Amino acid sequence: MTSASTIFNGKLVTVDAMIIIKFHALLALDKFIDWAKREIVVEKRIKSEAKYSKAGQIDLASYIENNLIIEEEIEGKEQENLFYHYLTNKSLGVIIYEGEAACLALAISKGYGLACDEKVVRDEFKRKCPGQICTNSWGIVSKARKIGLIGTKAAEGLLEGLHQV
Amino acid sequence: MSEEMNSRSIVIGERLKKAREALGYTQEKVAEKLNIGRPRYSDIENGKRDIPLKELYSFCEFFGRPLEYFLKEKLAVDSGFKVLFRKTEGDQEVAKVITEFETLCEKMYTLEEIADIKIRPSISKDYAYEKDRLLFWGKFYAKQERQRLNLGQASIRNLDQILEEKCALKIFYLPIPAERGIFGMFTYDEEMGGCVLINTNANFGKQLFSLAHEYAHFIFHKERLGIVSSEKEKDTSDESLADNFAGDFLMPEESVNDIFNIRIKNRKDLTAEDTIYFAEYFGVSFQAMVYRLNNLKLLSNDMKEKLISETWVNTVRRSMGISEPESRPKFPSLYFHLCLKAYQQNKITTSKLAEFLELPLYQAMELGRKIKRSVQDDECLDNF
Repeated sequence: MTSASTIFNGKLVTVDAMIIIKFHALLALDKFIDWAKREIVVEKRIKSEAKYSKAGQIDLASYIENNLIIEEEIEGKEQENLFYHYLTNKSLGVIIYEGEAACLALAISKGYGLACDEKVVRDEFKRKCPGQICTNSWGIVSKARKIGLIGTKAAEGLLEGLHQV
Repeated sequence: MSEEMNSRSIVIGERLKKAREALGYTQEKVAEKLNIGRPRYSDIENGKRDIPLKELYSFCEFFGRPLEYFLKEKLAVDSGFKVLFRKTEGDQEVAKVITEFETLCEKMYTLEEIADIKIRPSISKDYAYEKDRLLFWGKFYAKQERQRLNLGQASIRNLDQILEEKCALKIFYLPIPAERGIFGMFTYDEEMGGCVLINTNANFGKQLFSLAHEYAHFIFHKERLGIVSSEKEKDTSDESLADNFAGDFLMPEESVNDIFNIRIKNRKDLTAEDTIYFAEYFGVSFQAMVYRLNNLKLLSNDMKEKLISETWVNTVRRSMGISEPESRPKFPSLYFHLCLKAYQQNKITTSKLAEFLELPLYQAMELGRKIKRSVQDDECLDNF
């Protein structure tokens, strides 16, 4: 269990590819991973989605090898059925990608939180798991500032940067 | 198995069979290549066994198909592609290209559904012609189509845009190994309309000729459902008619005569440089221009043979300031339009946009930011 001064307060949170790409592009991925020591879970598909950002190649494998983030893969009937449901069911009103369906399926079935920059995915997660952490990249930086992991000026710079990447 | 799983297994099984047969593989071969027992593979194909997602992904990779292909309840394009696969049976490399062509057509159909835009102009029956008068009918219908499409006598380099707009043809550009001698392909499906594939391993002039040639198949041969236009088939009546049509359609007799008379005037000899100039004017290949000039008796047979054997044409073209465009997108312009529209209407996510446009996600995010102002939703979610 991690200390309370981490960003997700010791809870495991599934993070989507866009968040990884944005923090990497702002040269802040190391910071984010440091704020959330072993709290970030990436589904296997996210690794191939988040291969590059404007700042260059993203090496998620090395973070995984160094036990800084956790890699998991959709497996078992419950997770697979959820995955297929979100991939093929049109009830969300928006067609989502495999990585997003995998994040949702994993977070819902394992009781993890979700950090995702697609509102439709977050809305569905909030509906299914109302008490869980559900945030986006904006929320991550704001929370980091709130609990003193980052100074106000640096946080404002990051929030501004999130609009540009 | 639950009812949902059961119906999914049946669909997956049917698609596996279809994908396997398209590549001309036996069940034994697939089972061996993927290192699974033949009885187990047979059960999967017969929808009797559910398979783990991980294994389904290995099938996707093996058959070169997206996951969606194995999950979609109904495929939009089917019969025409069956014909294409049958015509190229045993050629794995070409089968891979047809697979990609089919995937692109399916994606286009999905996009039309998502964006709720389906342009399907009324399609006329195949035009009638007599096989012993192919030159006449090629010329006759070329003239008629130019009139019907309001093209006048001008050169039509933007033929792809014209056919997309006016005939709702879906035109894709992919490389097919040059040694196969395949110039293009055509499929027709009532639900989907006409779909064309042009081989990008040919020069741009040849690609334009191939497009006019495939358009001929669209007006004459829809009932065939699928046609592979290749060197091997070039002497068949279908191919001869399509070639005759394409020549007349792209280089109308009156226009060629006009430009010929202006440039050559009282000179006796037509040179390679003149032919390059004419080819550039009509946007066709040097070779197509030579044949057309010969066909209109503006070039002798001896000169035709001499020009065709010239090896320095490209060097001269470059010295005349004519260069090949570097590349062209594989998708029709409507495909881009539908992607962007669906995205702007919030009907697909940024990751899905990346998948449709075959872009790395960070590039799709950049594109998304440009067309939507921001892909960052400023909802402040720090109350955790």
